[in-house]
Amino acid sequence: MWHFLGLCWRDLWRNRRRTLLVGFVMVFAVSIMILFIGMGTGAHNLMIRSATDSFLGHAQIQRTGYLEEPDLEHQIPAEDLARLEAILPSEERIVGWAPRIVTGGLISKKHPDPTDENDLEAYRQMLSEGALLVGVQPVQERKVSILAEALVDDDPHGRCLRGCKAALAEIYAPTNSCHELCTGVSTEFGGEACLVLGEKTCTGRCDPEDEFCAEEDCTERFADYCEGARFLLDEDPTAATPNRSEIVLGSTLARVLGAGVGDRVALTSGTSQGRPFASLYKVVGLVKTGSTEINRTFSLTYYDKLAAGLELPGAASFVVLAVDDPDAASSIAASLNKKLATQAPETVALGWAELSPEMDIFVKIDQGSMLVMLGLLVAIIGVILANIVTMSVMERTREYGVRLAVGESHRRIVIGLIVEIALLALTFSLIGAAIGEAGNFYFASHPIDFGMGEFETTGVIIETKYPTVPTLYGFLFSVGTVVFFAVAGALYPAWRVRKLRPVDALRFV
Amino acid sequence: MRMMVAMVGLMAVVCLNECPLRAQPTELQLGAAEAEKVIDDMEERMRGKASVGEMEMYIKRWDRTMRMKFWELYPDKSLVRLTAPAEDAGMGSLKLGKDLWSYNPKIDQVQKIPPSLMLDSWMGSDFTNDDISRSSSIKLDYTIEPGAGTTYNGVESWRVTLRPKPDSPVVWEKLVVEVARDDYRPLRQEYYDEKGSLARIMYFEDYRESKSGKPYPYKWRMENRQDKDRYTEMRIISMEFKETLPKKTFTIRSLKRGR
Repeated sequence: MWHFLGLCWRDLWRNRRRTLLVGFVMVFAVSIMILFIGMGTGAHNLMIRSATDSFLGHAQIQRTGYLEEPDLEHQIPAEDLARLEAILPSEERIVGWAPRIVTGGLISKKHPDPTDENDLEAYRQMLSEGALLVGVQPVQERKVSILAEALVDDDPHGRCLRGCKAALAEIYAPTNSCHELCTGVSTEFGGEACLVLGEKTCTGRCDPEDEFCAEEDCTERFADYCEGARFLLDEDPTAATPNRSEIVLGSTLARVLGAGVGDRVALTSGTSQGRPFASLYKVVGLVKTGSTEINRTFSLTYYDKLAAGLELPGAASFVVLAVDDPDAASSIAASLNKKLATQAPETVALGWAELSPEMDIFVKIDQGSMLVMLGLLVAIIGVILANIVTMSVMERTREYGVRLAVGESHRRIVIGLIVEIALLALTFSLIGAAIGEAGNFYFASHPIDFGMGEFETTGVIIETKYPTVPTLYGFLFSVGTVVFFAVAGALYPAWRVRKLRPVDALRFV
Repeated sequence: MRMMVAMVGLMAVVCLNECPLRAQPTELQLGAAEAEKVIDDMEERMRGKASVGEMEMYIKRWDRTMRMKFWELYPDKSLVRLTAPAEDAGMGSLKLGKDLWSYNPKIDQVQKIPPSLMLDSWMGSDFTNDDISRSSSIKLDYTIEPGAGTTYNGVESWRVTLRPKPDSPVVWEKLVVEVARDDYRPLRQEYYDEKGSLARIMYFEDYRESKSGKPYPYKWRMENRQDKDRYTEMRIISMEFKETLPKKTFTIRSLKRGR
């Protein structure tokens, strides 16, 4: 057999130009298909990631009815959450999970009162916004979302300016010296140097006769701005103060409120028992994600304190899950539901497709259009390739006539012909695959930029910079397609060879 | 009580099939001009130049009772301050024109209610911020349609439909007000949402003479018709109509510090 294969291989290279020309088409076809599939897979993954990694998660466990009525009456009770915490670590396909508690409220930047409390215009200019307050456990949250990584870069100069103005406003001092004070602030602005600048800013501002002017208030306020932007800490540093905490704001919400790192914001809402809930927060960071909703309405704080404040200690609005394969999120949720049915029957696990049906439809439409385009690509490649192979084999009719004339059997020639084409297709397909996969690996780290910026769908911003993804199915499908059409192209000439007479073959032009 | 008077302008009453004393339409018809006069008389009857009082608000959903003082100056100023329960005492709302502020002493913060939250619940009740901040005259935002005679709980009444004017910033598809024919006191008011479904009903009950001698509803009950177990009842404990109130009553300082 190896001898026969060797003969076929040698036969291929007797006409090197013809073989290389056909081979080039095969290399081109395979590499293009692999790149196309890699790009399609990359776009598919990017869409799902854009929707799930910011906030949604690959799946969620909710109390039944929460999806329809996401309010404080549809929370996972503390005892059910404790059961879930016992179940989830044993689930192999769940790689991370995090409880969250969510409520809506009214958020506004905390201003010192205007000098004149009857200055209605100042109060009319106050900005308040509806916001979603989300309690997270920072350690767990990092396993299920990119929120902690979506931090907006620190702006030391802006922080210094805000700190100076806020501090001076505490003692109703003019703030026109702030620009000068903050000139030359370095990227390392913070710590002792910042505190010293605070002292310098506030000292000597109060009239000694004015008992209501306290320079300590001013320096304390300035100190709030002496820490660079960060995400919530693993432990709440203000755990002992029930109406004060730290908060991370969505970047657009912060811009609308005119708030930045170091500023204080006030949030009012209602507890699960209908009582008023109010808390002051220090802004420690801003996040900018691919979701306009998060950027516009979200504010993140510590789960434990928020849950207690809402009179729901230990409860959660939902538990976010990260799974090993986002495409399989719905089936993983379905299998988890079998356990939940007995251990926490009032809860339900839902994959991202159930949580965001609009995104699911969008992804399916995108997938469908990619399949149609792939089908067209395969059809074009198939027709061209089959034609080229047919012509290249037909061209060898006189050669087959000579071989028949010297006594070689029809069967041996037909088998040899097909094996030669299969060898040719396989060899050049593998070369094409190597080129295609190399391209895939390159574009995985250097995403293809279609130069169209970004677009928004179902509240999620999707960039038109697609990283490609090397896949096994892309490789197998492309190589298989080329080998299939090459062999298919050889079938007609092979069928003719079966009945070929040497005398006819020698007359073939 | 101007705030409540303001609400009267908007509030209507209805009875659905399950209501034992359902309103019975009669042959009597009311032209548009007459209907407008009925609404004017109703508003005139409910409003004074100013009012001061104290009331209790019971919220069924939370089984919670709050006590509050109120000051109102026609046409568009009001101040409400919670006095009980103790943990919420000092909270309040101030309405000046179309602007509404709330104050929470726990964080010593005045917050202006933005337009996007006007439909949110006011203090956890079945009243919305919109109910509280809306203009005190219903005619500013609604067109009055011809009405019809009917009876409600044995009282002969006029049933008048009001539809929002084209550019009015209102959320209801229509209001239906039912007014007693004899003295134009409001009996109930229905609120229909954009789908035309009955969303809420306000009942005006327990008419008594106020200190100024004017009969006034001492119980206002707002029922949420889309969630049958929810209603909010405002019971007036004391109420006095006045000629005027000092302007300084309606300032941020008053909201924060009391009067």
